[in-house]
Amino acid sequence: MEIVIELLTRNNKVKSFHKLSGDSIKIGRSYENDFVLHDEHISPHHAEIIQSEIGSLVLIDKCSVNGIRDKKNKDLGSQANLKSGDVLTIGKHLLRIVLPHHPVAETKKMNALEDITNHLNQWYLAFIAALVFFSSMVVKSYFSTIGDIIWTKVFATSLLVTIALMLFPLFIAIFARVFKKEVRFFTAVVFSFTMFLAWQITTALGQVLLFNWGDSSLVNLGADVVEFVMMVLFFCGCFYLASNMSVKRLCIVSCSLVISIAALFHFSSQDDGKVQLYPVSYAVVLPPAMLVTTAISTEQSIVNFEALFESASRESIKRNKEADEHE
Amino acid sequence: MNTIKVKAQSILLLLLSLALPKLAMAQDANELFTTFSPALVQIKSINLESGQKSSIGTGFFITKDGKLVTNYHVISSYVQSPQKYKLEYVDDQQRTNNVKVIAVDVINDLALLSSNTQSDVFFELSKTAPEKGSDLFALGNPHDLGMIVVPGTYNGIQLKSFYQRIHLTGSINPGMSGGPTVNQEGRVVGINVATAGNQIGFLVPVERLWLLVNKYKNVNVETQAKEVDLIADIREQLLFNQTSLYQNLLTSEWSTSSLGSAIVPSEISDFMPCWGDSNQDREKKQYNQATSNCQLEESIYISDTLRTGFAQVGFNWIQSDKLSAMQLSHLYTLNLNARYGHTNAGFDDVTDFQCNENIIKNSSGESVKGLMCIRAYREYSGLFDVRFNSLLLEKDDQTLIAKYFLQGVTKQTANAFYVKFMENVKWK
Repeated sequence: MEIVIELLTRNNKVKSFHKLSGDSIKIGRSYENDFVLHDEHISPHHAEIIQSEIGSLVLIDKCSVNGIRDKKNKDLGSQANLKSGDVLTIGKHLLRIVLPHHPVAETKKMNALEDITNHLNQWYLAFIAALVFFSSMVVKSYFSTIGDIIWTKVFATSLLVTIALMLFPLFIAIFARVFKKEVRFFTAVVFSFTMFLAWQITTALGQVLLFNWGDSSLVNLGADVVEFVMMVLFFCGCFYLASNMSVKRLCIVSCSLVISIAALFHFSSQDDGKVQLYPVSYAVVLPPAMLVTTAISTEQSIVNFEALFESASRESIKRNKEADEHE
Repeated sequence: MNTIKVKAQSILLLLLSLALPKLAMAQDANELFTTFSPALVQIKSINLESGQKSSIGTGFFITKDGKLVTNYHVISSYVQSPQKYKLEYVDDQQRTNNVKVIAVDVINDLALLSSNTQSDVFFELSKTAPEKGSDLFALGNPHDLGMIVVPGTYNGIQLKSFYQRIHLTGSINPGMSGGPTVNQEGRVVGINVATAGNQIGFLVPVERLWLLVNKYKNVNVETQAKEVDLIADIREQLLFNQTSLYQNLLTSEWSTSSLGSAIVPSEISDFMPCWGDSNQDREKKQYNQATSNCQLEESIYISDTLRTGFAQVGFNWIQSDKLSAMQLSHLYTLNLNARYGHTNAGFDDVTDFQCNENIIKNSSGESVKGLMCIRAYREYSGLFDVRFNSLLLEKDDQTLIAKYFLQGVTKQTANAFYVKFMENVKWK
């Protein structure tokens, strides 16, 4: 008789794998056994597996202290029939008994994503990603300095931000460990910093749009869509690297997470309808070379102002009505 | 010895001659005060809920049938929310009596009140303007201390001011608001309205009161007083006032001056003086900056929270050889969005600002980034506050930020001002 014993983790992952043969397979803490398990809850001669006359496997409890339980934690008694693939609990160990001809799952083709993910798991790639992000931070703070520039301050601040953002890949790695996923810390670093860079680039593009077309509803809608997609991508990546969820599940979880975060932000930033005494609009200015839109005539702009007068008048009527109803 | 005596005598005579007019004046003031004190009252606006006075001022009878005059700002709380306040006066015998508002003139801060009492003593309004340097007497009840008389000197109509006010060299203090200032014959030449500190007082010329009195001469107090919609009337006054204020400004040629390499309007009107500054003497500066700011110094009082009629125009030229294009843009963005001017309105008076941004071509074909923000008045429909922040593009190393803030204007005025502004702000 030839059988395979797999030691399982609590999540049914195979921890180790042992092929054994003989007329009977003895399991226990004593070194005389065929399969030795170091666990104080297991008796020296705990169990034995034999093949019956008709060929089926039989498990015998050799008067052990703690007995043998099945997957559902039910005591199997002194003797029980076994099928290939049955899971047993002996002491604190999970064991799966499989016959050599036990069917195995179909071979999966190597996932392109998985392939990339593994290839990216290089320290130098992670270092380059962090360096590029760090440089972008330096450039950004240089552009927004209008006084005397203090380079040590610029570098220190950018480095601080980079180190702080390093917490993201660190969390991904920790979660991957928790969820028994392969830990690919460097891939996580490359991914996080690429996303942060992409975020900066889209923000810069947004500024160009704001400079040219102002705080219009179309620009705002575009910004919202881009923001949503970026956030979903980011969470998908994080979950992919840190857990074993299927791609479909990843997408659903990420989308719902982003939507709930957006909803929370929306509700937490609700105003009480109190009038703002100064304009809240913020006009962005960039170098004239970045102006791509054609300027409108003064007359045309007056036509555009018409909408402002109208909406202000409408708001005044609305507020007056509300005040009357309140009284 | 003799010469000393003669000298002493002449000094005595000189002293006497100097003292005599003062004595005569004091006599007059005293006489005036005793004659007219029955016609002087304290006006109180009383909050119905707390039963306490919320504002006080001085008022005076101008007719036998109990018509009174005071400042609009003394009774504004009642006009704005008549359900929360009541008005009464306290006369020299400490008798109180209710009063009603017949008419107001917010532009000149005047109010015409009626009471159902007869007043045998009342003030007559002067028909002629006083001579410069003549002695006047301001009457009133400063800080609730009791009625007093303050002698002062007439110094003509205030220059550089759109709203005509008499400049009185004499102390006018809070609480004296709405009291009369009379000439030596005891005729009213002005109504106490404001002070600008030590010995500088302002009066509303009596002609304004004549206009108000004549306009409402025919209003029958008993039947019509209740039906006068004061708020609608105030709205009309504001609409009319902004038209006359901006009419000259918009039809006249604006004088311009250069600010850095740009051309900007300078004093566009006598009543909008300009002030300027630059960062020339700053150490370690990364850029050059020159600013100019012109503003209408006066505004119209509507309520505790709302003032209107204010106008402000400001320019900021920035140039740098040291900063990069991106750094300059950042500097421009900060300056363009910096808060400008006052708010002058409360949360319940106006709407939010509605804004839009455009890239506009000015009259010289230069591109301008413009942020236009407009809010409406809730009580006075058709009137708006307009804020325009703009930035002259085209040049790589410099820019001109031009802003204006107009309060209480109509759409027509706002648009006309905008056109004129865009014509007058450009590169050299």
